[in-house]
Amino acid sequence: MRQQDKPPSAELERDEYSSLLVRVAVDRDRSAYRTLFNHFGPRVRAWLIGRMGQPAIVDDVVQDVMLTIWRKAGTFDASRATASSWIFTVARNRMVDHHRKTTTKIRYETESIKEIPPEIEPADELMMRSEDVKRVSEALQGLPDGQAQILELSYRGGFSHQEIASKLNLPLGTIKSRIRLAMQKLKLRLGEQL
Amino acid sequence: MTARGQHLSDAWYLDHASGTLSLGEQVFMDSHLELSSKAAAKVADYEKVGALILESVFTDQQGTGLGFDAEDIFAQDDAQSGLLDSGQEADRVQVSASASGRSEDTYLPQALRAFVDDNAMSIRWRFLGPKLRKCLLWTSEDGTKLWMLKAEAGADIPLHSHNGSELTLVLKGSFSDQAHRFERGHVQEADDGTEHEILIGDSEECVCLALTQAPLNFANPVIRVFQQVIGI
Repeated sequence: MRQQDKPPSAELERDEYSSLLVRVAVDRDRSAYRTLFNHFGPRVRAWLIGRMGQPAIVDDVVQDVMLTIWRKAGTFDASRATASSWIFTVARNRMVDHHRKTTTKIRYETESIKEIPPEIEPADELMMRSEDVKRVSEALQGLPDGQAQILELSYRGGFSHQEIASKLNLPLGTIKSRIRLAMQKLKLRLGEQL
Repeated sequence: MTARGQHLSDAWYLDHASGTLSLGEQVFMDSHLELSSKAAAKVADYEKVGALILESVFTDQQGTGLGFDAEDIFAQDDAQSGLLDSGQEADRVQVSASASGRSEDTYLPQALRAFVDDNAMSIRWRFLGPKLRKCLLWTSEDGTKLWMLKAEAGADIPLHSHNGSELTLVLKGSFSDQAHRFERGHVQEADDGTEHEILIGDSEECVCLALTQAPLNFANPVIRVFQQVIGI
């Protein structure tokens, strides 16, 4: 793998990634893009592997995501979103586009809920990461099991709230309440990050 | 449970943010978000959670597994930009002109208009009942339907309940149920078991976009028989 710009030795703060994305948009700054690529490329791939399964297909989608980031950075509005939030929506939209084209939805259909891999990193693996990421993981891990499980199944498993209700054999109203409560708690714990 | 007003229950915004909506749900939600800034703000919150989860997924920091790097992206962009300059932009302009050439359905949100155009559909209203017309847009394998209802001013949709959830978005005009009045941009979320009667506002026709999971249960047995024909 060619790398003209090495990844930064320490994680940048979230605002700095937004500044880099603005530089890509305004100046077509390739160095800024390389830093964004090195940070977000592996993360987008890891998330999509969880959602789509097949690495060969995921690589095509990741390439599409990273190309979109380079081409469409001009649509990023730093006053309304962070770079990570904007890039997440690009990745999500490309994944959905792929599902629509193939009309397949590959998920953990054959696995039980408990077998879904816990992809939030254990605390000891976070030591080298930024304070922001640590706070997020702690906030997610600090949610009651019933609420964290729903977010896991949604963001990582790709299940709709109605599918989650069915899989957990819980009333739809209970799932809806837990989702609302989870967001309220995350807002309290993460403050300005949400 | 029934949600009323400018937004639905949070679960729908989570589904939108996490990319788990079906095509029909996506068209409904995108239409809804166009007409409600409060709803759009809720989706943005859930997208931020998604971004935080994206940031916290495990990676090995070295990018192992990515079979390409930033230089490949630059090269791909350079190679494709020539194609875009020559042909595709002209096509886009043509599609855009076609989509905006209508005048009779200006109340359609862009997301709904794009869905209709992308699938080469035309809006055809069919008889649903006295003063009522329907236009079926999409049906899923499990029977969920995305459809539009057009009702003449003052029309009445008799007392009915729901086997599954039903989302309704007002695109034009207004309607009232026993407790609330709904105008353009307002949504109603009716869950399993919700029972209501709908009265259309008497000043103009009303057009709604609806996402219905299962056939409605009308209290009137004559209408239940009629449903076998009209398919809603």
